[in-house]
Amino acid sequence: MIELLRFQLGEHALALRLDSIERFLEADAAAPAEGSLPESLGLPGAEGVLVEVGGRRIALGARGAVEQVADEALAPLPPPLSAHPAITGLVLLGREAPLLLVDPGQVS
Amino acid sequence: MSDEAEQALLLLDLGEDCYALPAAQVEIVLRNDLPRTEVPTAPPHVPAVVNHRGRALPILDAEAFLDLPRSSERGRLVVLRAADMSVALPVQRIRGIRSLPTRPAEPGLRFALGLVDLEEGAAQVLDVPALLRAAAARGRR
Repeated sequence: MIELLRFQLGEHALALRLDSIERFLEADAAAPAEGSLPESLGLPGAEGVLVEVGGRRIALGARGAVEQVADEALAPLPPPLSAHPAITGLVLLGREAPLLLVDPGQVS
Repeated sequence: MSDEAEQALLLLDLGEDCYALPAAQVEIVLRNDLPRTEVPTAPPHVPAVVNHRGRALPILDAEAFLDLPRSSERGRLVVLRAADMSVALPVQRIRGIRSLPTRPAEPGLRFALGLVDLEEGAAQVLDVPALLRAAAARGRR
C-alpha cells in the first residue's frame, strides 16, 4: 500500500506520495515558499500547506487528506499525453476520474 | 497496402466529414461518459484522460490536432491501439463497419492510408500509427 495526500486545486483532484516529501510546514512570512505547485500548473490555489522537498519549501495551495491506495492504482502518464514535469502520473481508483499524481520536487 | 484490397473499416463522423479507421486498430467503441480528468499544461490535442475499468486512456482530440471544425456533440469514444499507444478518440457518430476497397489518396493528404468511396463521396482512411506518433511528437515536452 502507498500513502497519498489527496487534495484539490480548483476543479482538479491531485495526489502526492507522502514518501516523496520530507515534512509539512505551515505558511511562514519569514520563510516564504520557493516554488508553488498551483502556479506551476496554472491552477487556482489558496494559502495552504507548504511541503519541504530536497531542502526547498514548495506551496501546495491546498490542504488535503491522507489516503492509502494499492500500488497498482498508480500509473504513468500514458503517451501521447504529456504535461508539466511535476505531473508524474495518475492514480486510478475504482470508477473515479483519474487523480493527477504530482511530485512537488519537480516544481521550479 | 495494395490498391483496391478490401479491408474492414470503421466509418465515423469527425469534424464535418466521414472518416474511416482500419477495424484492426479499433479496440472498442464506448459511450463518451467515462470519468474524465482535464490535465493542466497538457497540449490541446491531448487535453484529458479517462478511467476505463482501471486503465488510463488519453483523449486524443483529432479535431484539434487536424484543425477540423468542432463537432457540436461527440457522443462516442473510439479506443484505438497502434504504435505502442492506446488512445480514446471522441467522435460525433459511428456509421458502421464495412469492408471496402481502398484506393490511393491524393498527395499531400495528411495521415491518409488511402480513400474509400461511399455513396455520398470519398472518405479518408486514417493512418492510425502515423497519427498517434505525430500526436506524441507534437506533445513532447
